[in-house]
Amino acid sequence: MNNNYKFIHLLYVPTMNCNMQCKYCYLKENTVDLKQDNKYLKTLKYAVNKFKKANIIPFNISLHGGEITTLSKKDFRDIIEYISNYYKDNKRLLEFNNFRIGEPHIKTNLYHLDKHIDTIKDFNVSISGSLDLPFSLHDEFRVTKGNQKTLDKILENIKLLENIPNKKKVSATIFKEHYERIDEIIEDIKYLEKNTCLDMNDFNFMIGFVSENDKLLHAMTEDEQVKFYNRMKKEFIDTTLDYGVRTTWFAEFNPTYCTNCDNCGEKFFLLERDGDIYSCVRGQKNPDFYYGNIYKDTVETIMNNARTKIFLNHNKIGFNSECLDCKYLYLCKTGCPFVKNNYKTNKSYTCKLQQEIYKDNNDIYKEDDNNDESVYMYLSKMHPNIAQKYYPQKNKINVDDIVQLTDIIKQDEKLKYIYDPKAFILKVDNTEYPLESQILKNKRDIIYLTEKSKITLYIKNGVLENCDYPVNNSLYIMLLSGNLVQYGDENRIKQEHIMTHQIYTNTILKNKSDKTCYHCVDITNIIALYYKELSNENPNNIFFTTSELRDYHYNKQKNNAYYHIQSINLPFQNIEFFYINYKEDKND
Amino acid sequence: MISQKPKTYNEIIRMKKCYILTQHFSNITENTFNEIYNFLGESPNNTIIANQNSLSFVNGATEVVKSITLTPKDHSFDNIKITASGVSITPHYSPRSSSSWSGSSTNNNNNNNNNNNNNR
Repeated sequence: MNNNYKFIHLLYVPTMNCNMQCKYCYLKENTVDLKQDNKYLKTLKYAVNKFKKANIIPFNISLHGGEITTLSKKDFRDIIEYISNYYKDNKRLLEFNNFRIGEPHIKTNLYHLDKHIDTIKDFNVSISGSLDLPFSLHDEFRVTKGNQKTLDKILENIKLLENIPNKKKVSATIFKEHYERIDEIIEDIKYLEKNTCLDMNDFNFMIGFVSENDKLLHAMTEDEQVKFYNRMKKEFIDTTLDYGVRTTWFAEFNPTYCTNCDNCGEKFFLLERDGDIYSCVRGQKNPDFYYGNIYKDTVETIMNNARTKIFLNHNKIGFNSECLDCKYLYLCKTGCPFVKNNYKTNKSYTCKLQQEIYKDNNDIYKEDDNNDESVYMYLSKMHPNIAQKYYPQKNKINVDDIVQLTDIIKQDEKLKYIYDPKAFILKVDNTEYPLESQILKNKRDIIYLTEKSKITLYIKNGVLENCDYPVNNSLYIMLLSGNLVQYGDENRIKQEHIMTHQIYTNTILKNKSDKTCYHCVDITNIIALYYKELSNENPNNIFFTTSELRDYHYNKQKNNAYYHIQSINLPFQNIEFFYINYKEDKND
Repeated sequence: MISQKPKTYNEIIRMKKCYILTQHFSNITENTFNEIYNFLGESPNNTIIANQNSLSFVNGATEVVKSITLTPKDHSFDNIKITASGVSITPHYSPRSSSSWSGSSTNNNNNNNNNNNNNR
């Protein structure tokens, strides 16, 4: 079986039309279908086939609105039947790749569920309804376009689901206004549990957020979110809804949800009937979350746009340094990029609540033992401009029972100089490059020299002098070509040595240094002598140490096997470089 | 690949830096190459940062002003950063659980210590 597939979650919006006009609806004036056409099923089919040709397979196709039940009976049935058959046809492929085969799933306001009850029964459609809790606010906010109340009819429609085995659940979004009626919410949950067929252990709370222009509702503060969560626990733990309050009610933040992705643009897509593709319901109609049109754009373009736009959205607001030490970054991934940009904040708007939930479920959501690694991996993908700074330090050699190189260095005064990142500074024209030991640093630095470059080396005071016989000591420069050769008894392939150059301490001390606490030496002409020997294809390498420190390093290798195996490559401070010859390069 | 010929040392250096990207990514088109070259030339504070799947144009205020998707030729690196002062390559980090430190870029072991210099 072909294993090169990429799997996505596809939310299909066949209609923008809605039969209600909830006062806080995020789609606002967009809940009408301006034109009718015959693309209700056609667009979904077209998209699925086009994705499949590009080896992209939806592992889940869910329906969303507008309001899906406003479709004609035929259009609704055709789409549901198509999805049902899609799961059957792709069962083997999806299960082979560890996806659970579901039933066709709809998100609905439940108001016209009765119209489609036959199709719902025939295809075992999974229902996720929206309610406002408490009910008193439902009737205030969730009204028809004619401003009629909707709760009674919705509760009647729920009764229609009583004797069918379909999955049926509801969710409620909680704003400050809802939170302030928390006692009523609790009573209404108990009512739904007792008097309806809804599985209230499979209920979801969603934490509402507001945009700048929203005046009707207000978001809970982070402390209020935590209080809300704790109150629900207090009320429902050890009741028949124990499972729900511990797991599903606040499942928006567990790893099965979109917010657990590094880049949700690689996995989650919302398709509208006209072929437009957005990130999700939050990003719908927002150009920053628009990925392209399935009829007009290639799948490659859409996928690239998706990944790039989510990357850019995360980077607009940057990375919050508090997330470095939280130890739950591997679960949270800093939250939804839409909400972060909406609030102009660089961490999840439910950060405190998430931490509380993770701590309460320590058996599932443990603090990350490899947090430094997770932080680096996340930053490397989503914030590469700062990732290097957080390169994990500990695993240069992955053996637990040997003394680490950094510890050996700490315990040896002389070795410290060999690895001191302040011992040598190379200055090329006006730019200074502090040189680090190549086996300690986590990056390769490549610079560019020309015949016009003025190259100065600064040597920290004491590096040459702090030894028994400073007059015998010398600056030790090693120049290696980027080209490789086979060396010695080991038959090891290594960079070819071009030259070694020594300048004795007293010669260097005669130079007047323009840098406090450092001696200096101009090495421009020394390098220039060998430019013809340098590689044009691969970066060349220059190392600096002293003859005394070099001897000490090799003696240490002889005496300490742990040191030896961790300093196999030259440990001295270095920088890689290309030498540009204007006459040769301008003719390339 | 580049549409205009570099005339100065700075321009040649800038072009050489951009060529490093072509060694690591397979789909850098002429247009993209020129765009990168020109962006770096617009300000000494502009930076190009590439990871395994995208390349970001970062301005002096450290804002990512543009990002494009790229296909890497190899997985030897996590990050390539091009600035006015040079190119910095972060080698690929292998998670502890699966493998150990991959070491420096190039093998230049010199522990033979077999020179005959008596003046040390």
